[in-house]
Amino acid sequence: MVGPFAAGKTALIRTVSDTPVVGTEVATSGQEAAVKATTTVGIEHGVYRLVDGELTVELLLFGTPGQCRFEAVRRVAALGVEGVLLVVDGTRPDTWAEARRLWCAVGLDGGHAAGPVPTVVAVNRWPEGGALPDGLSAALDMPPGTAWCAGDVVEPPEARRIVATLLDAVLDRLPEDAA
Amino acid sequence: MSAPEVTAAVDGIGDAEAMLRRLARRPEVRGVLLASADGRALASELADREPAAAAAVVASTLALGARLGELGGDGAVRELLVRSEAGYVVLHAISDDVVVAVVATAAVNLARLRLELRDETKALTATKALTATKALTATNTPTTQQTQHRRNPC
Repeated sequence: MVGPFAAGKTALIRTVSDTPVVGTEVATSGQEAAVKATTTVGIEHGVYRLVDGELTVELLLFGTPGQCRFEAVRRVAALGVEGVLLVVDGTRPDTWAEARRLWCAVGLDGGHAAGPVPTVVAVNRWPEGGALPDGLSAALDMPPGTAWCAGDVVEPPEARRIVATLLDAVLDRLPEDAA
Repeated sequence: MSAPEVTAAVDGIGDAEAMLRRLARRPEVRGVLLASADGRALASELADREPAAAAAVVASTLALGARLGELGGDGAVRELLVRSEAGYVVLHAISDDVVVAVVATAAVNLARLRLELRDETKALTATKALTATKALTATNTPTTQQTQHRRNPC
Protein backbone atom coordinates (compact mmCIF):
# COMPACT_ATOMS: atom_id res chain seq x y z
CA MET A 1 0.00 0.00 0.00
CA VAL A 2 1.63 3.20 -1.17
CA GLY A 3 0.47 6.76 -1.60
CA PRO A 4 1.28 10.31 -0.57
CA PHE A 5 1.18 11.61 2.99
CA ALA A 6 -2.40 11.87 4.30
CA ALA A 7 -3.92 9.97 1.34
CA GLY A 8 -5.65 7.48 3.67
CA LYS A 9 -3.40 4.39 3.73
CA THR A 10 -3.49 3.84 7.48
CA ALA A 11 -7.23 4.54 7.61
CA LEU A 12 -7.84 1.95 4.91
CA ILE A 13 -5.80 -0.78 6.58
CA ARG A 14 -7.50 -0.06 9.92
CA THR A 15 -10.93 -0.17 8.33
CA VAL A 16 -10.53 -3.52 6.58
CA SER A 17 -8.12 -5.53 8.70
CA ASP A 18 -9.52 -8.65 10.37
CA THR A 19 -6.58 -8.73 12.75
CA PRO A 20 -5.35 -6.01 15.11
CA VAL A 21 -3.26 -3.70 12.96
CA VAL A 22 0.41 -3.54 13.82
CA GLY A 23 0.90 0.18 13.46
CA THR A 24 3.96 2.42 13.48
CA GLU A 25 2.37 5.83 13.85
CA VAL A 26 4.03 8.68 15.68
CA ALA A 27 3.18 12.34 16.21
CA THR A 28 3.76 14.58 13.22
CA SER A 29 5.99 17.64 13.41
CA GLY A 30 6.39 20.83 11.43
CA GLN A 31 3.96 21.66 8.65
CA GLU A 32 2.73 18.06 8.57
CA ALA A 33 1.26 18.57 12.03
CA ALA A 34 -1.14 21.07 10.50
CA VAL A 35 -2.49 18.36 8.18
CA LYS A 36 -2.90 15.58 10.73
CA ALA A 37 -1.73 14.55 14.18
CA THR A 38 0.04 11.27 13.46
CA THR A 39 1.94 9.65 10.62
CA THR A 40 3.18 6.16 9.78
CA VAL A 41 6.97 5.89 9.94
CA GLY A 42 7.56 2.14 9.65
CA ILE A 43 5.68 -0.67 7.97
CA GLU A 44 2.19 -1.35 9.27
CA HIS A 45 0.50 -4.67 8.88
CA GLY A 46 -3.04 -5.98 8.69
CA VAL A 47 -4.89 -8.95 7.21
CA TYR A 48 -7.95 -8.93 4.98
CA ARG A 49 -9.77 -12.24 4.99
CA LEU A 50 -12.22 -13.21 2.28
CA VAL A 51 -14.31 -16.34 2.79
CA ASP A 52 -16.03 -17.96 -0.16
CA GLY A 53 -17.64 -21.25 0.80
CA GLU A 54 -14.89 -23.47 2.10
CA LEU A 55 -12.18 -21.34 0.54
CA THR A 56 -10.53 -18.66 2.61
CA VAL A 57 -8.14 -16.20 1.06
CA GLU A 58 -5.98 -14.00 3.23
CA LEU A 59 -4.53 -10.84 1.80
CA LEU A 60 -1.60 -9.63 3.88
CA LEU A 61 -1.57 -5.87 3.84
CA PHE A 62 1.54 -3.78 4.37
CA GLY A 63 1.21 -0.02 4.67
CA THR A 64 4.13 2.31 4.03
CA PRO A 65 4.93 5.91 4.96
CA GLY A 66 3.93 8.49 2.36
CA GLN A 67 6.65 11.08 2.80
CA CYS A 68 9.51 11.14 0.36
CA ARG A 69 12.14 10.78 3.09
CA PHE A 70 11.01 7.20 3.79
CA GLU A 71 12.16 5.83 0.45
CA ALA A 72 14.37 3.24 2.19
CA VAL A 73 11.35 1.85 4.07
CA ARG A 74 9.30 1.55 0.91
CA ARG A 75 12.12 -0.32 -0.80
CA VAL A 76 12.05 -2.88 2.01
CA ALA A 77 8.27 -3.15 1.90
CA ALA A 78 8.27 -3.57 -1.89
CA LEU A 79 10.29 -6.77 -1.84
CA GLY A 80 8.17 -9.62 -3.17
CA VAL A 81 4.86 -7.78 -3.27
CA GLU A 82 2.04 -9.51 -5.18
CA GLY A 83 0.04 -6.38 -5.76
CA VAL A 84 0.07 -2.68 -5.12
CA LEU A 85 -2.71 -0.54 -3.79
CA LEU A 86 -1.99 3.04 -4.76
CA VAL A 87 -4.01 5.28 -2.45
CA VAL A 88 -4.62 8.84 -3.62
CA ASP A 89 -6.74 11.66 -2.24
CA GLY A 90 -9.23 12.48 -5.00
CA THR A 91 -9.67 15.98 -3.63
CA ARG A 92 -5.98 16.96 -3.61
CA PRO A 93 -4.58 17.25 -7.16
CA ASP A 94 -1.36 18.74 -5.74
CA THR A 95 -0.45 15.26 -4.42
CA TRP A 96 -1.00 13.25 -7.60
CA ALA A 97 2.44 13.76 -9.16
CA GLU A 98 3.95 12.44 -5.94
CA ALA A 99 1.55 9.48 -6.10
CA ARG A 100 2.83 8.68 -9.59
CA ARG A 101 6.43 8.82 -8.40
CA LEU A 102 5.68 6.56 -5.42
CA TRP A 103 4.01 3.97 -7.63
CA CYS A 104 6.89 3.98 -10.12
CA ALA A 105 9.31 3.18 -7.32
CA VAL A 106 7.26 0.16 -6.21
CA GLY A 107 4.99 -0.94 -9.03
CA LEU A 108 7.50 -0.68 -11.84
CA ASP A 109 10.69 -1.44 -9.96
CA GLY A 110 9.33 -4.11 -7.67
CA GLY A 111 11.62 -6.65 -9.26
CA HIS A 112 8.94 -8.40 -11.28
CA ALA A 113 10.18 -9.62 -14.65
CA ALA A 114 6.62 -10.09 -15.87
CA GLY A 115 6.06 -6.33 -15.90
CA PRO A 116 4.36 -3.92 -13.54
CA VAL A 117 2.96 -5.38 -10.35
CA PRO A 118 -0.87 -5.68 -10.48
CA THR A 119 -2.10 -2.36 -9.19
CA VAL A 120 -5.40 -0.93 -8.04
CA VAL A 121 -5.74 2.81 -7.67
CA ALA A 122 -7.89 3.66 -4.65
CA VAL A 123 -9.30 7.16 -5.07
CA ASN A 124 -10.08 8.18 -1.52
CA ARG A 125 -12.58 10.85 -0.51
CA TRP A 126 -14.28 10.53 -3.87
CA PRO A 127 -17.77 9.18 -4.55
CA GLU A 128 -17.81 5.66 -5.88
CA GLY A 129 -19.41 4.93 -9.21
CA GLY A 130 -19.09 8.39 -10.71
CA ALA A 131 -16.46 9.94 -12.95
CA LEU A 132 -12.87 10.10 -11.70
CA PRO A 133 -11.48 13.48 -10.67
CA ASP A 134 -10.44 15.66 -13.62
CA GLY A 135 -6.80 15.16 -14.50
CA LEU A 136 -6.15 12.22 -12.15
CA SER A 137 -5.82 9.64 -14.91
CA ALA A 138 -3.34 11.82 -16.82
CA ALA A 139 -1.37 12.61 -13.66
CA LEU A 140 -0.95 8.97 -12.65
CA ASP A 141 -0.46 7.62 -16.20
CA MET A 142 -1.05 4.02 -15.13
CA PRO A 143 -0.58 1.05 -17.47
CA PRO A 144 -3.63 -0.12 -19.45
CA GLY A 145 -5.76 -2.54 -17.47
CA THR A 146 -5.13 -0.90 -14.12
CA ALA A 147 -8.25 -1.07 -11.95
CA TRP A 148 -9.64 2.11 -10.39
CA CYS A 149 -11.81 2.22 -7.31
CA ALA A 150 -13.25 5.37 -5.76
CA GLY A 151 -14.73 5.58 -2.30
CA ASP A 152 -14.22 6.66 1.25
CA VAL A 153 -11.73 4.41 3.01
CA VAL A 154 -13.21 4.98 6.45
CA GLU A 155 -16.48 3.41 5.28
CA PRO A 156 -16.12 -0.36 5.76
CA PRO A 157 -18.15 -1.44 2.68
CA GLU A 158 -16.23 0.93 0.42
CA ALA A 159 -12.85 0.03 1.90
CA ARG A 160 -13.62 -3.69 1.56
CA ARG A 161 -14.61 -3.22 -2.06
CA ILE A 162 -11.28 -1.48 -2.75
CA VAL A 163 -9.27 -4.26 -1.16
CA ALA A 164 -11.37 -6.96 -2.83
CA THR A 165 -10.60 -5.32 -6.18
CA LEU A 166 -6.91 -5.64 -5.43
CA LEU A 167 -7.40 -9.27 -4.46
CA ASP A 168 -9.08 -9.88 -7.83
CA ALA A 169 -6.21 -8.21 -9.65
CA VAL A 170 -3.66 -10.33 -7.79
CA LEU A 171 -5.55 -13.59 -8.32
CA ASP A 172 -5.94 -12.80 -12.03
CA ARG A 173 -2.17 -12.65 -12.34
CA LEU A 174 -1.48 -15.96 -10.58
CA PRO A 175 -1.00 -19.13 -12.64
CA GLU A 176 -4.18 -21.21 -12.95
CA ASP A 177 -3.09 -24.02 -10.64
CA ALA A 178 -2.01 -21.59 -7.94
CA ALA A 179 -5.26 -19.66 -8.08
CA MET B 1 27.57 20.93 11.92
CA SER B 2 25.72 19.88 8.82
CA ALA B 3 22.33 20.35 10.41
CA PRO B 4 19.16 21.23 8.56
CA GLU B 5 18.00 24.78 9.00
CA VAL B 6 17.81 25.15 12.74
CA THR B 7 16.86 28.48 14.16
CA ALA B 8 18.77 29.90 17.09
CA ALA B 9 15.46 30.78 18.71
CA VAL B 10 14.65 27.16 19.48
CA ASP B 11 15.27 26.17 23.07
CA GLY B 12 17.59 23.29 23.61
CA ILE B 13 19.03 22.72 20.16
CA GLY B 14 22.32 24.34 21.18
CA ASP B 15 22.61 21.89 24.08
CA ALA B 16 21.73 19.02 21.78
CA GLU B 17 24.34 20.03 19.25
CA ALA B 18 26.93 20.29 22.00
CA MET B 19 25.96 16.79 23.11
CA LEU B 20 26.41 15.46 19.58
CA ARG B 21 29.86 17.03 19.39
CA ARG B 22 30.86 15.47 22.73
CA LEU B 23 29.62 12.05 21.62
CA ALA B 24 31.40 12.40 18.28
CA ARG B 25 34.68 13.12 20.07
CA ARG B 26 35.28 9.44 20.81
CA PRO B 27 37.67 8.10 18.19
CA GLU B 28 35.51 5.01 17.67
CA VAL B 29 32.38 7.06 17.00
CA ARG B 30 31.92 7.48 13.28
CA GLY B 31 28.84 9.63 13.38
CA VAL B 32 25.93 10.89 15.42
CA LEU B 33 22.49 12.03 14.42
CA LEU B 34 19.59 13.64 16.21
CA ALA B 35 16.25 12.79 14.62
CA SER B 36 12.60 13.43 15.36
CA ALA B 37 10.38 10.40 15.90
CA ASP B 38 8.67 11.17 12.61
CA GLY B 39 11.93 10.94 10.73
CA ARG B 40 13.42 14.38 10.31
CA ALA B 41 17.06 15.19 10.85
CA LEU B 42 17.39 17.80 13.59
CA ALA B 43 21.19 17.88 13.77
CA SER B 44 23.92 15.58 12.61
CA GLU B 45 27.60 14.76 12.61
CA LEU B 46 27.45 12.07 9.94
CA ALA B 47 30.31 11.92 7.49
CA ASP B 48 29.31 10.87 3.98
CA ARG B 49 25.74 10.12 4.93
CA GLU B 50 22.72 12.13 4.02
CA PRO B 51 21.02 13.14 7.30
CA ALA B 52 17.46 13.24 5.92
CA ALA B 53 17.50 9.65 4.66
CA ALA B 54 19.31 8.41 7.77
CA ALA B 55 16.79 10.14 10.04
CA ALA B 56 13.90 8.42 8.26
CA VAL B 57 15.49 4.99 8.68
CA VAL B 58 16.20 5.76 12.33
CA ALA B 59 12.56 6.71 12.95
CA SER B 60 11.24 3.65 11.11
CA THR B 61 13.56 1.32 12.98
CA LEU B 62 12.64 2.86 16.31
CA ALA B 63 8.92 2.46 15.57
CA LEU B 64 9.33 -1.17 14.52
CA GLY B 65 11.60 -1.70 17.52
CA ALA B 66 8.80 -0.43 19.73
CA ARG B 67 6.51 -3.13 18.29
CA LEU B 68 9.25 -5.67 18.90
CA GLY B 69 9.61 -4.42 22.45
CA GLU B 70 5.93 -5.08 23.07
CA LEU B 71 6.74 -8.79 22.92
CA GLY B 72 8.36 -8.23 26.30
CA GLY B 73 5.46 -6.29 27.77
CA ASP B 74 4.27 -2.72 28.05
CA GLY B 75 6.55 0.25 28.18
CA ALA B 76 8.20 2.69 25.81
CA VAL B 77 11.25 1.62 23.80
CA ARG B 78 14.39 3.21 25.21
CA GLU B 79 17.23 1.80 23.16
CA LEU B 80 17.99 -0.28 20.07
CA LEU B 81 21.31 -1.84 19.23
CA VAL B 82 22.40 -3.06 15.80
CA ARG B 83 25.62 -5.00 15.47
CA SER B 84 27.01 -5.31 11.94
CA GLU B 85 30.36 -6.51 10.69
CA ALA B 86 31.33 -2.87 10.43
CA GLY B 87 30.43 -1.99 13.98
CA TYR B 88 27.46 -0.72 15.95
CA VAL B 89 24.52 1.59 15.59
CA VAL B 90 22.86 2.56 18.84
CA LEU B 91 19.49 4.28 18.86
CA HIS B 92 18.69 5.96 22.13
CA ALA B 93 15.28 7.53 22.64
CA ILE B 94 15.66 10.87 24.39
CA SER B 95 11.93 11.51 24.63
CA ASP B 96 8.78 10.45 22.83
CA ASP B 97 9.70 12.90 20.10
CA VAL B 98 13.46 12.73 19.72
CA VAL B 99 16.05 9.99 19.25
CA VAL B 100 19.82 10.09 19.01
CA ALA B 101 21.69 7.60 16.79
CA VAL B 102 25.34 6.80 17.33
CA VAL B 103 27.38 4.97 14.69
CA ALA B 104 30.54 3.40 16.07
CA THR B 105 33.26 1.02 14.98
CA ALA B 106 33.50 -2.50 16.40
CA ALA B 107 36.34 -1.31 18.63
CA VAL B 108 34.12 0.94 20.73
CA ASN B 109 33.59 0.20 24.40
CA LEU B 110 29.89 -0.31 24.11
CA ALA B 111 29.15 -0.25 27.82
CA ARG B 112 30.89 3.09 28.26
CA LEU B 113 29.23 4.53 25.19
CA ARG B 114 25.79 3.55 26.45
CA LEU B 115 26.52 4.96 29.91
CA GLU B 116 27.63 8.20 28.32
CA LEU B 117 24.49 8.25 26.17
CA ARG B 118 22.34 7.70 29.22
CA ASP B 119 24.02 10.46 31.22
CA GLU B 120 24.07 12.90 28.33
CA THR B 121 20.43 12.46 27.42
CA LYS B 122 19.42 12.60 31.07
CA ALA B 123 21.19 15.96 31.38
CA LEU B 124 19.56 17.12 28.18
CA THR B 125 16.02 16.29 29.23
CA ALA B 126 16.66 17.69 32.72
CA THR B 127 17.14 21.12 31.20
CA LYS B 128 13.86 20.74 29.33
CA ALA B 129 15.79 20.80 26.12
CA LEU B 130 14.10 19.65 22.94
CA THR B 131 10.63 20.39 24.13
CA ALA B 132 10.36 22.65 21.10
CA THR B 133 10.63 19.85 18.58
CA LYS B 134 7.49 20.90 16.80
CA ALA B 135 8.72 24.43 16.25
CA LEU B 136 12.16 23.20 15.39
CA THR B 137 11.13 20.91 12.61
CA ALA B 138 8.76 23.44 11.13
CA THR B 139 11.84 25.07 9.67
CA ASN B 140 13.34 21.80 8.57
CA THR B 141 13.07 22.20 4.82
CA PRO B 142 15.39 20.19 2.57
CA THR B 143 18.80 21.77 2.26
CA THR B 144 20.67 22.14 -1.00
CA GLN B 145 22.89 19.30 0.05
CA GLN B 146 19.90 17.04 0.59
CA THR B 147 18.13 17.84 -2.64
CA GLN B 148 21.27 17.16 -4.62
CA HIS B 149 21.84 13.76 -3.09
CA ARG B 150 22.08 11.11 -5.77
CA ARG B 151 19.59 8.59 -4.39
CA ASN B 152 17.20 11.00 -2.79
CA PRO B 153 14.30 11.92 -5.10
CA CYS B 154 12.78 14.29 -2.55
